[in-house]
Amino acid sequence: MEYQPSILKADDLSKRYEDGVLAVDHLNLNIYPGEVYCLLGANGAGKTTTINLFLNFIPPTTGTCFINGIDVNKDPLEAKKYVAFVSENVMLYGNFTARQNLDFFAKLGGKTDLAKNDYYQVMRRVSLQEKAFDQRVKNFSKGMRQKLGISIAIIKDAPAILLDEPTSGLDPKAAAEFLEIMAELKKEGKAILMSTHDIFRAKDIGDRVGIMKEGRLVMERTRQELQYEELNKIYLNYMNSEPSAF
Amino acid sequence: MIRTIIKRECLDNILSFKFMACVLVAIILSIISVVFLTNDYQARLKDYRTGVTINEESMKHVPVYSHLALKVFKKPNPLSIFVTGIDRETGTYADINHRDIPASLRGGSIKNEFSHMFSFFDLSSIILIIFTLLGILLSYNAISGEKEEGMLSLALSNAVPRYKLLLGKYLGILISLVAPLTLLFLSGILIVVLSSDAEVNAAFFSSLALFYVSSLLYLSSIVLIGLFVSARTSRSFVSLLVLLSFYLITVFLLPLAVNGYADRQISLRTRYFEKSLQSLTDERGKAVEQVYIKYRAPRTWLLPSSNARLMKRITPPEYLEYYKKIYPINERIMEEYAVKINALREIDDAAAVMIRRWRNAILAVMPSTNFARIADLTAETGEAGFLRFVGRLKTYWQSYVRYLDEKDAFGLRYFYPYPEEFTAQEKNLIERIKEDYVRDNGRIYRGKYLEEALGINPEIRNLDLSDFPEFNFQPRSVSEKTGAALLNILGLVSYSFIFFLLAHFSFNRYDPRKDA
Amino acid sequence: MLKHMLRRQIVEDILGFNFLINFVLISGTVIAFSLIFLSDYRGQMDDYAIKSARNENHLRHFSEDPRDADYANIQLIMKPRAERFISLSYEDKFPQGFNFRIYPYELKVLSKKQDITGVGSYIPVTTREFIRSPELFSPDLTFVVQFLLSFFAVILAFNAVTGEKEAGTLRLVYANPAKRSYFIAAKYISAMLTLVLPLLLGLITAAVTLGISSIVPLSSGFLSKLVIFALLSLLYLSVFVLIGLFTSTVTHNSKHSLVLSLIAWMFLVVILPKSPGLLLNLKHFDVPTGEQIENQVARASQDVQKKYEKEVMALRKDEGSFLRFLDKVVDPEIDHARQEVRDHYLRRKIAAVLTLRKVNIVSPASLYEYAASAVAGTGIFHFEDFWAQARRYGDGFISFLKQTSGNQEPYTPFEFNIEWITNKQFEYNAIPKFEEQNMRIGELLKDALPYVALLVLYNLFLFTLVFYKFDRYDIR
Repeated sequence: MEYQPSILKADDLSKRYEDGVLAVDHLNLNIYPGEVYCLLGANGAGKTTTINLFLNFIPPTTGTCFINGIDVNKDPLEAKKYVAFVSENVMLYGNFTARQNLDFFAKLGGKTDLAKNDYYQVMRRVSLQEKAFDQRVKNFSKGMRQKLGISIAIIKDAPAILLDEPTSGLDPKAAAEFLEIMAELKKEGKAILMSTHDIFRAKDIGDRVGIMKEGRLVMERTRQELQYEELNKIYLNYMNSEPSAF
Repeated sequence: MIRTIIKRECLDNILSFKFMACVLVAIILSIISVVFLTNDYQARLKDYRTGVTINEESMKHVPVYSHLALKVFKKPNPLSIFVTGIDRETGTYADINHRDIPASLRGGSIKNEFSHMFSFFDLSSIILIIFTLLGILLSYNAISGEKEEGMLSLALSNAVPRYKLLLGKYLGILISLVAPLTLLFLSGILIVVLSSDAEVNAAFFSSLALFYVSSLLYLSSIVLIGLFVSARTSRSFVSLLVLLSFYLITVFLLPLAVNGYADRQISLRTRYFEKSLQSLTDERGKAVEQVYIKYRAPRTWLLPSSNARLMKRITPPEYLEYYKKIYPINERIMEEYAVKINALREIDDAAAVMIRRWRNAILAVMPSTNFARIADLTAETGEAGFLRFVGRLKTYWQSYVRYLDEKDAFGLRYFYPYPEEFTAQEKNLIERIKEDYVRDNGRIYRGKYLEEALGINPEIRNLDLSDFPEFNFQPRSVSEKTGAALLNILGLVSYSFIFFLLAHFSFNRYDPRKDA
Repeated sequence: MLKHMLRRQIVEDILGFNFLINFVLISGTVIAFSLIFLSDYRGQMDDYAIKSARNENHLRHFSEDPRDADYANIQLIMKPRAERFISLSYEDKFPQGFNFRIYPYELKVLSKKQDITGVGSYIPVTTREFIRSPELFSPDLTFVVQFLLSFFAVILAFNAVTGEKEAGTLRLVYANPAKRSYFIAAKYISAMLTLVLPLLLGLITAAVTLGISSIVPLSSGFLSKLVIFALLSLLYLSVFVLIGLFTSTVTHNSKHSLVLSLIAWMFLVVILPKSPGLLLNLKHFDVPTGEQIENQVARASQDVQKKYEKEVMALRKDEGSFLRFLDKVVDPEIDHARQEVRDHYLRRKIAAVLTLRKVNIVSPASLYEYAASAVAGTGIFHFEDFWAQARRYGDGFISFLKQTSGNQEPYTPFEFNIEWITNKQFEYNAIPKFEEQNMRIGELLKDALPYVALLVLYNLFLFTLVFYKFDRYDIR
C-alpha cells in the first residue's frame, strides 16, 4: 500500500479522571483514509472517552491526538476543520426543520455557500424520507434523527469522521442503510472511526477492529485476519481474560 | 459565523411557546396600560389648563395684594404614560402666599384612600416584571440545555471558537427580547401621538429614547446573568431555580423590603418638624400679639373677624392709619416665621436625604433596581422629579416675596383700594353693621352682608400685575438627565461587561459532553 | 402502593434544591418584614401615645371648663396591633381615624394630608410631603404566602407529570398495578407536606421575632388568629399546587408546563389583583377630592341657611326667639347636613373599593388576601367596624352629657347645646373614654366566610379537573 499519513492518530494517549479512574490507557491508534475502524468494547471501556479526547472535549493526561497531523490539544480550532462528528442520540433543534438544522450545522462547519438542493441531495443520500425534509425535527423518530446526524457529518465534507455508537437503537433496515453509507464514504477516501458494541456490524463494515478493555487496546485485527475466526468468541474471550500483549 | 448563530438563536426563541406566551401577555398589558394612562394624562392636562386659565383670569381682577390667591400648577408630564412614578398621587398645585413656604402639593388624583390596593402597570413595570422573566426563560438553558440535548458537543466539534458561540447566543437572545420591546415602545408612542392633546416635543422623544436605551442595557445584563448561570451547571433545572429565585428577589422582594424600610425610617426620623412646629407657631402668635399690644387699635366698635375684608374695604380713616402701621409689621413677622418654619422642614429634609442616599446605594447593586431608578430619573415622575419641583417652588417663593417687597405691597396696597369717599350705599352699610348684634360665633348672617358689600364697588381699579414673576418649571434636558442617571447607566453597563466575562470564563471551562 | 409513591415523592421533594432555596427565601423575607413591621409599630405607637395624651389633655380641660370650645374635640385613632403583621392590607394607607368634635357635633375622617394648624392660628402650614414609593404589595405575612409560597407551590408541582413522562419513569410506574389517581394523589399530598414546613417556619420565625423584640404584645387572640391564618394559607397553597399539577396534565413537555404555570401564576398573583385600578376612574366609582368634599359640605350649610332665610329675617327683631330658633332648628340642621355629606362620601369610597374587590374573585390570590385581612381583623372591614365604634362613642358621649345636664327632652347629638351644661364641671373619671374593641373572632370568621367558601370551591373544581385530565393522560 502506498504510504499515506494517518488522518486520525492517537499517540500513547492516556486519560485519568479526577476521581482516579483510568479511562484510556496508553492508546495508540492510526486510522488511514479510506478505511473504517471499529472500536469495540463494553460500556465504560473507554471508547467514548477516546472520541471525546479526539474532539478536545477533555484534555489528555499524557499523549497526543492528531487530526490530519494537527495536535488537537494545541490547535483545536484548526484540527476541527478536518473532522466531522456524529453523536449518539442528539435531539437537534426541535423547532426547526431537518433542512434548517442541516443548514445551521453546515454553516457552522464552514460550508456557507450551499444551496437548498445540496441539502436535499445529502438527505436523500442518507435515505431520509422526502416529506421529512421540511418537517420539524421534534417529531422525528430515533432513526430519522440518526440519519439527519449523519447527513450533517457528510455535508461537512471533512476527511475524518467520528461516530459514537451510531447504530444503537436502529432497526435492522436502518442499520443496513447506515452500513451502505459508511461503505460509500469509505470509497470516497474518508477515515472513519466508529465506536460500537455491535460485534456483527463491526465485522461487516470494519476494515479493522480494535477491542478496548478497561482503557487498553487489547486486540486489533484486520478484516482478513478475522475471516477465519469468530469475532464474537474472541470478543467474549477478551472480555473475560487478562489482556495479553499485542 | 456569528451571524449564523445569532439567526438560529433568534429564530429558535421566537418560535418557542414561552416567547409567544410572554410577548402576548406583555403586548396586551402594555396596550391597555398606555391607553388608560393616556386618557388619564389627558384628563389631568385638561385640569391643568383649566386651573392655569382660572388662575390667570383671577390675576386680572386683583384689587389689593391681600386678595392675591396665587396658585402654581404642576404640568402633567407625558412621560408619566410610560413611567407613572408618583406623579398621579402627589398633587397638582401649590398655594403661594407670603406666610408659608410651600412644601407639598395639593389635589392629587388618588382620591379614594382605600384604593391603594389597586395600583397599575406602566411600561417600566412591564419591562421589569415580564421581560425579565422572558429573558430568564430564554437564557436559563441556553448552555445547559444544549449540553443535555447533545447539541453542544455537535457544535463544538466544529472549528468555532467558544467565545463566538457565547457571543452569538447572547446577541440572539437579546435581539429576541429587543424586537417585542421595540414594538411595545413604538405602539405606545403611536397611541400617544395619535391621541388629541398630548404635548409631545423633541424632549419627550429624546427622553423616551434614553429610557429605551437603558431598557436594552438592562435586558442585556439579565441575559448575561442567565447565560452565566447556565454555564455554571450541567442541569437546566438548577439553573432555572437559581434564576427564578434571583428574579423574585431582585424584582419583588428586595425593592419592597428596602423601599419599605427606608420610607418608614424616613417618616420615623423626620418628626422634628411636627414636634417643633407647635412651639414656633406659638412664638409667632406671641410676636403678633405683641404687635397688637404695642399698637393699640382704636376701639370705635367691635369688629367681628369675618367682617375683616369688608372693613378693609370701607374702613374709616382712623382705622386706615392703624392698619397701615401694623400690617407691614405683622406680615413681615409672618414672612420671617415662614422662613423659620421652613428651616425646620429642611432639618428633616436633610435627614431624609441621607436615608435616601443609603437606600439608593443599596439598590444600585441590583440591575433591576438600577433600571427602575434610571426610569425614574428619565421620566422625572418619581421622587427626584417631585423634589426638584418643590425646590423650584421654594425659589419662586423667594422671588414672589421680593416682588411684594418691591411693590411695598404690605404698606401701600395690601388692604385698601383707594376710594377717597364712601358712597351712600357704603355709608348705609356701615350704619347697619353698627346696629347689628355682635355674636361670638356669628357666622351666616354676617356673611350675607359680606356678599352684599363685596358687590358694591365694581369700579375697583385692579392691580397691574404685568411684571409679576412667572413660575417657570422646565423638565431637565436629556443631557442633564443622562448626567444624573450616569452612575446607574454605568452600573448596568458594567453588569453586562462583568457577566459577559464571567460567562466567557465559565463557558470556556464548560464540559460539553452529554452525560458528564 | 400509595404509601410507597408518597414516601418516594416526599424524599425527592425535600431533598431537592428548590426546597432549600425556598426555605432560605422565606426565612429571610419574614425576618426582613419583621424588622420593617417593628419600626413601623414603634412609630405608630409613639403617634398613638402622643394623640392619646392630647386626648387626655383635652378631656381634662373639658371636664373643668366645658365651654372652652378649643378643647372640645378628641381624635379617635385606630390602635396599632400585632395582627397587622399577619395582614397589613394597606391599612397604613387608610385614614387613621376620626376627629370627634363634641359641639357642634362632628365626626370627621382624619386625612393624611391635613395641613397642620397650630392651635389658635388661622394660618395653615403645609406639611412635608411624605413620599412613599409606590408599593405593589404590603410587607406582611400574607404577602409571603400569597406570593413566595405560591410560587414555590407551582414550581413543586409543574413537573409532576411531564417530568416523569420525560424521564420515562411514568411508564415504569404504570407498568405496575397502580391506580392512576394514586399517582396524582401522592404528588399532591407530598407537595402540600413539603409546603407546610416553610409555612410553619415562617410563622414561627414571625412569632419569635415579634416576641423577642418585646415591643409588640402577643396576646392569645393573636396566636389563635395565626393558627387560623395557617389553615387558610394551606387552603390557598393547595390551589396553586393543583394549578401546577393541572398544567402538568395538559402538556407533554416540561418546558411547556413550566411556562404555562409561570404565566398562570403571574396572571393570578401579580396582574389580576391589581387591575381593578383601571375601573376606578369610571364615573360610577369616582369620588371627589378632599377639597371638593369640603366645598360640598360648605354648600350644604349654605343650602340650609337659604332654606330658613325668610323665617330668620322675620325673627330678627326679637333677640330671644331669634337665638332660640337658630339653636333649636337651623344650627342642628346645618350640622346634620354637613355630617351627612361627609358620611355619604365615606360610605361611597368604601363601597367603591368593596365592589371593585368583587371583580377580583377570579384570582385566588385576591380571595386569600381578603380572607386573611378578614381573619386578622385589619383592612377595610376593620375600618368599617371602627367607624361604627366611633359613631357609637360619639352618641354615648352626648348621652352622658345629657344625663349630667339633667335635660329631659330627647334630642339628637346635633341638637345638643353646650349652654345646657350650666357651668358644671365633670368628674374626669366619669367621662366616657374611647377604647377600641377588637372584633370578636366569630365576626371575623363571618367576614372571611364568603372568600373561604370560594377558595374551597376553587379547590374542588381544580381537584376534579386534575383527576379527570390525568385519567385521560397519554402516558407514552
